[in-house]
Amino acid sequence: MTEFTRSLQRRRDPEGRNTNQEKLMFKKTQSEEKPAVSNHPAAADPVMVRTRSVSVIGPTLVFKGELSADEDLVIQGTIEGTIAHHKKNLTVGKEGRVKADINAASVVIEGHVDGDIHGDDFVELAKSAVVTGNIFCGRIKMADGARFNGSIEMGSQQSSQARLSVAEDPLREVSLDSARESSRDPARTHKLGA
Amino acid sequence: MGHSPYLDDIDLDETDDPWQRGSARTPSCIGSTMVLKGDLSLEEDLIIEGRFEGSIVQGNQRLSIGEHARVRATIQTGSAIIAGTVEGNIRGGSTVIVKKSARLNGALTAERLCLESGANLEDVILSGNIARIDASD
Repeated sequence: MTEFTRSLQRRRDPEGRNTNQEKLMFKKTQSEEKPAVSNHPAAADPVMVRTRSVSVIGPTLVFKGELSADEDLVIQGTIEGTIAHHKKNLTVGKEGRVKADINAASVVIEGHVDGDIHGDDFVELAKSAVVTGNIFCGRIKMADGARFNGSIEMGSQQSSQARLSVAEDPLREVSLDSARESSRDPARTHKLGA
Repeated sequence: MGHSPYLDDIDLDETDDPWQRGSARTPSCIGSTMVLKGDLSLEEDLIIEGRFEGSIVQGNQRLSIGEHARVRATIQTGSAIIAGTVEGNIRGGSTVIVKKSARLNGALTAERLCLESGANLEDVILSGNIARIDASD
């Protein structure tokens, strides 16, 4: 209790300065509420539209843990852990530092990534990209200047799916040969990744 | 919902919109489909509309917890507007506003508290100066 009182007194000094900030915050509340309350089109406020459609992890943000999402995401901050980001686009911006395995439909890397990148559709490395890890993707685009250490596996998902579907059905001997071919790829990849 | 007189005091001059003016620092946004489990620290404004579990450590910036957000975390922030569900302790350096749609569970500490009547504060320990309680109609 006393500590709290003391901290109150400490904080009381900059109160004059804070009122301005507080005022700003209230304005934000109101502008944010407007669309929800009166059903005004959110387009009236371009800033809110931007924050709603694309989630942003800002440059000062540091997060350690699991992240999953089902919307477009731009990472400018630091993330450690896992990123499961199905069906949507993920961008690691210039200031972004990711130490995690990334799963997404499409991945654009402009910053640092330390981990495997799974882009079901495509993976793009911009010229400022620095990537250490393996890339699994349908298509890839790598700009001149991008730094990349690892292996690239293309179409690995289809082949692993084919292997699974065949392996589960022992009667399908006819296609076994082709399945063996395709199953070799993920196995090799696994060894590389380990 | 009627506008509270306190909010009405503030002129809505677009040019002075902090989220426009401060667009050099766009707030970080945890969207409605996002689920984060872990420890988060940041030095910029944050909007949470999804789910969060863990801890949030923020400097003297603003935190907005949206109506549909679910947060189970220990939160340390500058100022906050809470409209969603929060389980855990919240410590605000300056002002914390609790909207009527909010559901809180834990300890809420702030220098100034603004509560809107209707907010679910059944299991909350409040400490700080209650700056105002707004009746929501």
